[in-house]
Amino acid sequence: MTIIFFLFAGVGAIVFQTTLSEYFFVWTSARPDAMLLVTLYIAMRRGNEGGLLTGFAMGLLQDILAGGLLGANSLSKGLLGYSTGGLVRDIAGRNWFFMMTLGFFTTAFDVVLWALLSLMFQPDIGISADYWYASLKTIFLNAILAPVFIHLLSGIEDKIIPQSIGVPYPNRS
Amino acid sequence: MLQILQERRNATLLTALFLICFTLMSLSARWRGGTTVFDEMALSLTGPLIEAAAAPKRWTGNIWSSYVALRGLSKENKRLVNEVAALRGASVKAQELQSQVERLEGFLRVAKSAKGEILLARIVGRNQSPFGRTLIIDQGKTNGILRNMAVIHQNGIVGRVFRAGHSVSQILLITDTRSSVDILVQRSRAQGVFSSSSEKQGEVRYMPADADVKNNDLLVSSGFGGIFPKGLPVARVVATSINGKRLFKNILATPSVDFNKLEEVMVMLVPPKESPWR
Repeated sequence: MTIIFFLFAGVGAIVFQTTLSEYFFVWTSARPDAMLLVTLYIAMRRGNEGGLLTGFAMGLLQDILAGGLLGANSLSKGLLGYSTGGLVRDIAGRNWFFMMTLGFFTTAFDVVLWALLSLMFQPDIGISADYWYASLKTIFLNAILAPVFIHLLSGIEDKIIPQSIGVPYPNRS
Repeated sequence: MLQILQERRNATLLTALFLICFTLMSLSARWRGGTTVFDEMALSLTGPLIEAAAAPKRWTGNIWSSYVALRGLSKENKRLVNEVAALRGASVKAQELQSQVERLEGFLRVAKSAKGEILLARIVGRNQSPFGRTLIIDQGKTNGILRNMAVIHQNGIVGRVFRAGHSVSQILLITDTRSSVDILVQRSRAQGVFSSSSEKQGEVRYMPADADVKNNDLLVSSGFGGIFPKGLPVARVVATSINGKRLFKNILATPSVDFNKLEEVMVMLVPPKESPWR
């Protein structure tokens, strides 16, 4: 059940990234990185291993969807999933400010690492000023959306999988 | 070996992550512009997922554009509906005005040719019961109308003023059983009396059996009655017959005026000649 939920969360992130992010772009001229936010959530729920695998998968999908340097986002998000899962294991008790800070710094790391990897593997292309400008807006947008995403997914998971918060599955005894 | 990997699971995973990602990046950078095996594999694996993800995008995109478009369309539709309604109204009004102008032009022609003053009156009421066929017009004594004044239309004689009120008058139609008009056959000048019992058809009485009357002959007022001036169309002959050795012909004629379509009439403001019979 948990796996299915995470799969749905991943698919939801893709759908969000390919659909709703367009509207965010229309309104704010910036696109949030839903893949990263879902990676953060799963890392906070399932630890560094789950975070790494989710980050890798999400990043790979993002690379394929974006058509850019294959593996850059996988590495970046895999590392972020791993480190977030190791640092933060529990969502309960985390306030919105903490999640905003987490969203801000992880997105900033993702942006910088992608730029470095891109420069390393495709030095002739370079990084334009527009990339930094758009990325800056994405960082702030992710910082705002991180608490919303994490609490939303957390609420859904707690509702449909009560075991995840310690409620035992009912049995005959 | 496997045990070591299990023990150092995290390190193994991280190493694998780096290895796979760097390999992918190297291949991607080398085969830039082309499609690597990894690209193809990844695309094959994620293709259905991307398609599935793109479907909601299309749907939401359609909904969004339709919604936005429909919002605009709704406003535009309302505006156009209002405009069409206004134009329809204007069109009906224009047709009505055109019809009115045509009618009035006809009246004007008659009025110019008629001797004496003509007063245009609008029909405001009708009485089409079996007990009498009358019209009510919006002109009365204050406008100079008197009893027995002739009421005509561009197509012919309508009737006479039966009762003149203060501001309205009652017109007795020539189709009323109490009416009769002295007529001449325009072509042969044969004389008779037209009276009617229905709006569609009337009969010509006292027409000699040897009179020259044919179908489609126009019957005009003779002017002998003292009410209607001479030469106004009254009816058109539709059938003639002779019954044995009777003195008079049986002649059926249709009134020149369609009384059901009358909207305005003209009252000839000529005082009728005094007659002890009226």
